[in-house]
Amino acid sequence: MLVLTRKKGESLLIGEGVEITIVDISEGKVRIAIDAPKEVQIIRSEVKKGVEDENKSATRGAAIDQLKKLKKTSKK
Amino acid sequence: MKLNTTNFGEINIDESALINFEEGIPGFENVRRFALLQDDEMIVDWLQGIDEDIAFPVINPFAVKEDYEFKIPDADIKKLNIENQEDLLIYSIVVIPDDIKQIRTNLQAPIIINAKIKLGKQIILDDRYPLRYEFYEKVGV
Repeated sequence: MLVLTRKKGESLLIGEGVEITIVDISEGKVRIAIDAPKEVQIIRSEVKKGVEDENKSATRGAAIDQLKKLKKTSKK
Repeated sequence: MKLNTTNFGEINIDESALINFEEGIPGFENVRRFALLQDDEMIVDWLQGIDEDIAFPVINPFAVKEDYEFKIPDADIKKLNIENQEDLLIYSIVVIPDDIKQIRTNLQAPIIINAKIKLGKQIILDDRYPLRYEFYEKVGV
């Protein structure tokens, strides 16, 4: 993994179209501005991790018999 | 083709109806092909993995959250080759905990299927909608 040091106001480029600028640093937090083509999706890592964990929970289908008792009114 | 599944025993799958998830599903990146099993006995349908025996219960999110709406990111419109909204099937993944009253679905990351070309993706939205949306009151008896 590449580790770089940047100061406030400095930036770096990733590939052809992504530029990341350090906007502000204070109290242990860094504000980052990201300039990227709109087809590049930017997601905070913990959001992705949350989705992964929730998907794992979904495959552990417990209580299937109870599921059968639920109303079907909600189906499309 | 015949498929042995934990949840449904041996089932017959129409190979031409399989849905391709080119990036897998977050947490299950190696599972690329899924069969959509419509289930008349339950409030959910199932996305049954072909490459691995996993099954995701899925529901129509608009049925449990009437004012649910989102814009599909441009990147995903491109990846899924979306031309018409009518071609789309929208689902959200359901978690069925031991206490059924806590049944929940992930409105932050809906599953979009372009049914016309059998291509699917779980897209991740911003955090306007919850990762864990409980909906027992909509379906409980």
